[in-house]
Amino acid sequence: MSIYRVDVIPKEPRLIYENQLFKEFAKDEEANVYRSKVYWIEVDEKLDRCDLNYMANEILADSLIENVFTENSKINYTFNQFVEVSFKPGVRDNRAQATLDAIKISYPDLKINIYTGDGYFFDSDSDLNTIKSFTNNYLCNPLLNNINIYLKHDFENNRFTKNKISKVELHKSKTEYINLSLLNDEELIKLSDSRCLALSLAEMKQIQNYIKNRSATNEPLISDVELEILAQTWSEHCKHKIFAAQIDYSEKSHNFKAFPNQSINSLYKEFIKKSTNNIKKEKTWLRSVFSDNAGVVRFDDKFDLCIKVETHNSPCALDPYGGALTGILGVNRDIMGTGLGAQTIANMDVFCTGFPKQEYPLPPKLMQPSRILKEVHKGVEDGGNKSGIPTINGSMHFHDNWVGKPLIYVGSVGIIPHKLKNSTLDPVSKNQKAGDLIVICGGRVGADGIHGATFSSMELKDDALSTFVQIGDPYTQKKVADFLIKARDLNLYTSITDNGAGGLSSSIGEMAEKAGGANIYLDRALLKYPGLKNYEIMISESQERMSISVEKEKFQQLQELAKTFEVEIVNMGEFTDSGKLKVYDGNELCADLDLDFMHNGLEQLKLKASFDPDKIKLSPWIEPQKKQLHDDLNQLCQAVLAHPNIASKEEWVRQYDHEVKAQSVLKPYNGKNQKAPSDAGVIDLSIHGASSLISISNGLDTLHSQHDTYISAHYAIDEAIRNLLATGADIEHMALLDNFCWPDPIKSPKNLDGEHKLALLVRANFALKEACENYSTPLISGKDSMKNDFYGNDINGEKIKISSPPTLLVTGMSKNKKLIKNHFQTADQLVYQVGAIDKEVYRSHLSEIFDIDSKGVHPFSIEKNKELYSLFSELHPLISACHDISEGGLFATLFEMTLGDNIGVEITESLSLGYLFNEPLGNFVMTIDKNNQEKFEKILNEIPFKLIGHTTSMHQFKIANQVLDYDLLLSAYQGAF
Amino acid sequence: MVRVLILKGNGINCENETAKAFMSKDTSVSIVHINELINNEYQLNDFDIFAIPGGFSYGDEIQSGKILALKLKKYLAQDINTFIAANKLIIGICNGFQILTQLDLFTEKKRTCTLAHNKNEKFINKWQGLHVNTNSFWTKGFPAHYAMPVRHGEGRLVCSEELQAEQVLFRYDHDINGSINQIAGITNLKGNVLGLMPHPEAALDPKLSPNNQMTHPLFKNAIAYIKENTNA
Repeated sequence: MSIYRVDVIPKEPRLIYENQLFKEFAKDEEANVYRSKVYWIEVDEKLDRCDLNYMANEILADSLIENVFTENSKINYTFNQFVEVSFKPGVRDNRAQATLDAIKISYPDLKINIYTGDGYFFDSDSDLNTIKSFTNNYLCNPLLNNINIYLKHDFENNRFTKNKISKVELHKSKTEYINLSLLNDEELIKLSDSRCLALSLAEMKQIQNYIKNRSATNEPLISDVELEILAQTWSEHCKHKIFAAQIDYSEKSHNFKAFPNQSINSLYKEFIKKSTNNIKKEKTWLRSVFSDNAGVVRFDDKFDLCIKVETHNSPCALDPYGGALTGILGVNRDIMGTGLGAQTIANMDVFCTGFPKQEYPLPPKLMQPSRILKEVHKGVEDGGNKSGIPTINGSMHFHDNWVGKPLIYVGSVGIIPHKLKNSTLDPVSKNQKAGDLIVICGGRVGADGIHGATFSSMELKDDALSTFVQIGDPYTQKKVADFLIKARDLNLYTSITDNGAGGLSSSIGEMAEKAGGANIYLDRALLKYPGLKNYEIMISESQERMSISVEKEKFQQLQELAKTFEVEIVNMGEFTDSGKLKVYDGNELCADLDLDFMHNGLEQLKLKASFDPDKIKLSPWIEPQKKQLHDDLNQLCQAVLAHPNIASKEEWVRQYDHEVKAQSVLKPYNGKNQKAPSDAGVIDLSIHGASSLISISNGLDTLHSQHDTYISAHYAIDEAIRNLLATGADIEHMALLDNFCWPDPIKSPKNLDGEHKLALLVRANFALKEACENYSTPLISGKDSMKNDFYGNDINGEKIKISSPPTLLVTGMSKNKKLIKNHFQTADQLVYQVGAIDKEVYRSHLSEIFDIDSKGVHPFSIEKNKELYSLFSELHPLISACHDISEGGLFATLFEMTLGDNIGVEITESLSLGYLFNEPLGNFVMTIDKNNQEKFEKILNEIPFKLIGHTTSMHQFKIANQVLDYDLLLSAYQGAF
Repeated sequence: MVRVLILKGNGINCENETAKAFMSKDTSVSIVHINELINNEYQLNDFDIFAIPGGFSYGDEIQSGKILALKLKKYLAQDINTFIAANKLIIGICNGFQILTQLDLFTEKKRTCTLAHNKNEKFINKWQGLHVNTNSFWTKGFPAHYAMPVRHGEGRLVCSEELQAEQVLFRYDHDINGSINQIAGITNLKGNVLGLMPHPEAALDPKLSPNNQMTHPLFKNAIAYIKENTNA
């Protein structure tokens, strides 16, 4: 075995992205850090010098801009230290895989392994500790990476002799058997904890019982494969036990909206599903709701659309980049696995983190929000850009309590034809049957991503393990996506689903339920490296894999197609009608579970919810600082625009490809200046052969969630709907998605306010059902994540718990018949505020920023809002621009509208603080041509509205006689990050 | 008919919109997987225009365009040379341009042009004004100033030799990525190989532009050129 090291070093030094950060970190203004790449080539025999040179010069480097080093020599950089960051064994290394592909083009038969790393030249007098700590904090993640630091001399002379590559350790026993009947309660809990099963005592006892009955004559043994399969299948993540629980809801005294005490059989059935069922009759365009990997709606006479939103909070807390990347690729696979497979056409993302400019006194294992934000953003960027899927809509929200676990939402939209070319199967159906082969396509299985489903069903502790974490591989997934669409169109499979949380145990477990059973042969799995235990193969969440069912006679054709697309596929077994999931390793039967027990054996949870807002406050973990209120309107306005929830995210958004596929009509930032933010992403589906446009939006509230989630949920829904309306969509064709991220809502000794948090969950559902039925907007898909808490020790070693605010994201999608832009496009248009706004100051960003008396929640009526929303199809032809009034109130809305086309605004009379900055539901700014004034006002009729001014050709913001300092407003708005 | 081959596979992702850009009553457009060319299911020489669309071939690992260029070099170098010699047209957009520079198709000498990381190390997506050199058949009928979307992380052109003026067809109207002379798109000396970082295939529909910009004739020009210069 020989190892060769190659250093690829730019001729012109490339500063790292974090260079400025290092200067600040090291308090060394003169310092600079330059990047390079390192490759290690491992071959069985020796490598010919000339082959090594070819690889180094022709494959690994570009001689025009890079120098290559394969032996000791002086480096032409000024530096004192060199830091090498490489991957720990078993962590996905995409560059190594691509390099291997590249070398195989010229050396197809060479037995070879590649390992890669990043190099950093530190030109700084800082000591080793500073550099090490900066590297750990900003350049690598100790969970995933090894670091190696060289002094200059050592680097130039000794690095080639220090080649050491660490590899995954091999296990000896492949399946373990446990005699459950011998374990008492305490030992059962211990078993669940030590194996990260996240099963309760009651659940462990159910399993104990099942095994006892199953093996009446033999020893009641359960294999670790079986135990792990059940833990995945029964995890909160997969089974949504809290949403399925029986809940006794009651209220203590309070001043919020009162609801009667009641017993709820299941939040999911009684609120979410029921609200959709109640309006289903009038919505003939609903195709498949709550049953597939995504919700499906009919779009036109040729196509259906599907949409799904996921969260990846726990993985992002540990490794923000990998977590977000696998999140977005994962939700793409949900789309790829909807019906017989949809084509993904758009992505969206919503990030909730701590304030990015704040350095928090964090518990040691937590990352500062600035780093989390930067890395989750990069993850979504790479996931979308490298897959050729535009990221068309999103938002960022900030709150002190999101430092414990960030909330990272990712969503995707897909398109499915009504009819497939070569098949009579309904494209929105699953057709696996006994006898079909179980075929896994895509990435290989490794020890990465073990226990993702159960881990995300637990709170975050500061001793989390790296096996939960994975890095995604968008390139492999892109090949799989191309391959599967082709295979679908050739009618080569009968059913498809994604491999996500729980790995094969979930994907095949679910598919087997419909087919009637399955036999899986783990010894056939394609592994990244040998030595995996059987249960690891069964539950590994290694990425980029899809499961399909294939009729035997079509397998060969499928294999040929896979070869063309460079996708690995493997026949892992077959579907049966045995009613069982049987898992084999060769001849050894290592799991034999009744599907009925797996899927229906779990007993319903019984929980108590008690709304007690007077006693229990969900307060921030650190005291927020408020500013003294200014008299100066200029300064007030600047402060509001500079709040990170409101400020421009353009700098971030421009790094997403939001236009690939040539379909983005309303982009994240619009107008001639490309600066005016849009309310929703609008895409034109004609490139796919479909007619007209769709709008896609999101709504999420940060102001009210800690007080009353009934209000907060109404805010989220209303914002999602108004965002769609403002871009020209009509309310008749809107579909919504719910996505709950909650702090632990189950009471326990360490979570004493659990019943209140559960009551908050119930109240959010009250609002959701009420609003969806009121507006006739069906919920078509949803997701929940229930353990968004961090437990650990703070900087003083004291125990600390940081819980996420209870957060509901509502996503909206609608047909759009007439595109409306959200910014001013011409001068001399009349500017209206439409909806009801009070003069007093209510809870708003203004009252968050400044120490000011506010009156709580601005009054609203969803019935009145509905009257306005149903007028939009009449209003749309008259409106020249429309923007919903949300964060930052009327002022921020008007300001954003001036950013697109250098058109200013003049407000004729002076307005009260409340009127300018309140953020009530149901409000818009609309502009119309003067000629349409009478018509417009007649349509609005009894809806409250106010003609507040007109647009101006002068690029300015004028209120009464005061012209605000536009440049300062702009720099406040653009300089927040 | 003008026969257009649109390359796909290995992470290319703009093949559909690029194919649509070439579709007309005078063309037959085929989207072909690179391995279908290598397997001889399709022959490059059966086509008149060879388009390499944008995307992230091999995930942009090592260097954008690098690995797919190695693959094309290994299996199709001769076909590509014959194609160019026959006065047929090659267009590489974004990742396609990166691939063409890795194939050294723009200059006589090897490794004189490459596309490196944007100066600020960030990917950028925006509509960018371009100064257009309208003296080429590719750009006939373009206004002198025209905007197209740019969407790249490695678009900084680095050249060790100065390009001929007639080779430079598109320049950014200000410096967005550190590209030499703000160059956005170039041809080979002969003029029949075009590479550009902006996305002309995404600038055809006025609805997609920030200011309802009229459409452009780049793809029509290419088709017309083939019709005039061959028997297609």
